[in-house]
Amino acid sequence: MLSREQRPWAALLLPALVPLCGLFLLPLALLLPVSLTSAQGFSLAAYGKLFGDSYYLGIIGNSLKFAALTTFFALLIGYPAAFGLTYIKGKLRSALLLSLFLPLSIGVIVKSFAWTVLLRSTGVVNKTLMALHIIDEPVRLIFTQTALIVGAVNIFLPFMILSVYAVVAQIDKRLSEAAATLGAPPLLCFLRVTLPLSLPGIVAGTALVFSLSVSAYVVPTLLMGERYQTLPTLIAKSFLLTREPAFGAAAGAVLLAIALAVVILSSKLGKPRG
Amino acid sequence: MSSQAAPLTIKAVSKQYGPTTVLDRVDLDIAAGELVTLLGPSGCGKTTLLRAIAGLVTPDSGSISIDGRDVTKLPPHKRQVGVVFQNYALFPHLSVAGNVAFGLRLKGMDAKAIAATVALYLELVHLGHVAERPISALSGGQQQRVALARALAVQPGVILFDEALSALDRNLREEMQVELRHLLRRIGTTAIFVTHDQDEALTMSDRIAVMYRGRIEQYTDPKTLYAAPASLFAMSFIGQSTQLHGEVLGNPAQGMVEIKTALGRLRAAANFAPGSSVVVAVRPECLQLGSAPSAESNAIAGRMTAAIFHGAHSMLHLAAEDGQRVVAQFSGGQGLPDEGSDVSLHWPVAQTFVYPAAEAA
Repeated sequence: MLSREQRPWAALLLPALVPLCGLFLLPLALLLPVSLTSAQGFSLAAYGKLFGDSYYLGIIGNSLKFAALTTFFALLIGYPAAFGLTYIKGKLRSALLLSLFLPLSIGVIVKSFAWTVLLRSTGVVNKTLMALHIIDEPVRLIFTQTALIVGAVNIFLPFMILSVYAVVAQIDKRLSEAAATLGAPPLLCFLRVTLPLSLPGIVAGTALVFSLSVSAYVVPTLLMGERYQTLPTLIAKSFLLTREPAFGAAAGAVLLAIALAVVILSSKLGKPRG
Repeated sequence: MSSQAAPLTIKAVSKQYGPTTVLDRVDLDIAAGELVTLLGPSGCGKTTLLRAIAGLVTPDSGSISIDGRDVTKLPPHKRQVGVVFQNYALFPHLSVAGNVAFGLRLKGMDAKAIAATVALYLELVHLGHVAERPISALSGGQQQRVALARALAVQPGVILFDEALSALDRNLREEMQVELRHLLRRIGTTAIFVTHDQDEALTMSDRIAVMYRGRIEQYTDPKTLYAAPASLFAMSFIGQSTQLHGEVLGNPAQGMVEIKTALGRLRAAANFAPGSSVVVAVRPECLQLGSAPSAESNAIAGRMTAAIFHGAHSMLHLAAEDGQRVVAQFSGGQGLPDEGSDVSLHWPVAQTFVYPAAEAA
């Protein structure tokens, strides 16, 4: 698997691999058997409950829909932004990049609460709209799906922009010029040269934002509340509230399977083609 | 396979980047099928002029017409001007054949015609055997050929080369120069090369436009350019020369000047008023050993500091009293004086060039 030359370099990975194996893989290996156990021993009952009940299927659907919409809007906003960044030079670019990194240092809880402050009935948005006499009484903004998506897109957007930017910044601008001199109008330049070359960035950003949002716990809890269940909130409830470890573990396994599918699919799509 | 070679006319094209004038009212006429080189040092505006022809730069003023059609305001994709870029700018996500087919697909050709055209042009650049390979699997020389095939395949009226050979190593570059010239002649397309390499310019071109500080200093065929450079810059940039500062003493005859230099009095055919500060220049191969045989020659004497043997020819370096140096070229290496000996050199007055000293600044 590793050549003689590669072996010493592979050792550099050990400090990262050992804790990951101990703290991540091992608990996962312990969790999976839990999902397959009931009081009577081996059982698929937990999975049967999860997939057999339209309520729980709805929760899986919620998770997928939330993650898909968040990823879609993050891509819609982030892709052009990443291109914009490559055309800006000097200090302004550094400032803009910093403005992408800084929010990452603020906890996701703080950012979610900030959105609740903005969106609640006595929040900044409602007060402004009422002061401008656009509305007469507060509109319900918080605890709506729109609020959830807006908040989640805001929180996960930097991951999308940075993923796309890292790839787009490497694209030689002369390739577009070459395409133009070969007869390609701007739209075709984009579709046949820039878009395919930026695909690895799109795939990386999509995989990252989808994985983050499908497994997000704090964001849906604070912006949607208890009524709106997603897989992560279901897992938390199963372990902490209803004391059904097998069911929680099964939900965890499904979440893991979704994340794995996204990673595998994206690495296939992101491969450069000859 | 024959392209529709197009004539090109550039009229008073100027381009300003901030306070810098990159192109200063440039005029250039290129006939259909002509091979022209824009030659000059970096920053002389040659690349900007090339990009303006391709439509990648919009001139501030002036006009560019291709085949009688004013294209000044036309975007690059409507100009039918092919470009071979310095780094080739091949599409890394497409195969060799995919790169060549790129422009053909945009023309809406059917798959069969595209495949045939791609095969034809890859064969033309001797790359038929690598058609399905990815670009990254090719050597620099092969990538250069793919870029050429890609540009030629759409049969542009004009094809532009932006330092397209400079990334190749010396032997391959010289080989490509000859081959490319032959190929362009065969296809019969109008071609413009941008280079700072005088050998490339002399090899490839029907005419050379020497550019300096955003202007065309001289636009003529390679032989005239070498034999009669119109400016001190052209003289210095192409080939070697000995340059001596001097002052015009008088006009011994109509159209003749006599100049006082550190190496004695020299004569040349030129029009300068007495007292003018000038630079006298002569090519090394014009110099001959011995004292002046006639009044039609200039003569100097000095101590030989070095005789450098280059194989087919030798270079003699002479130092005059005030330290000015003269370089003379002789074929072979036999029968030349020893280093350190005093020698006399002479050359025809007709091959003595005089330029205003202000140009040397």
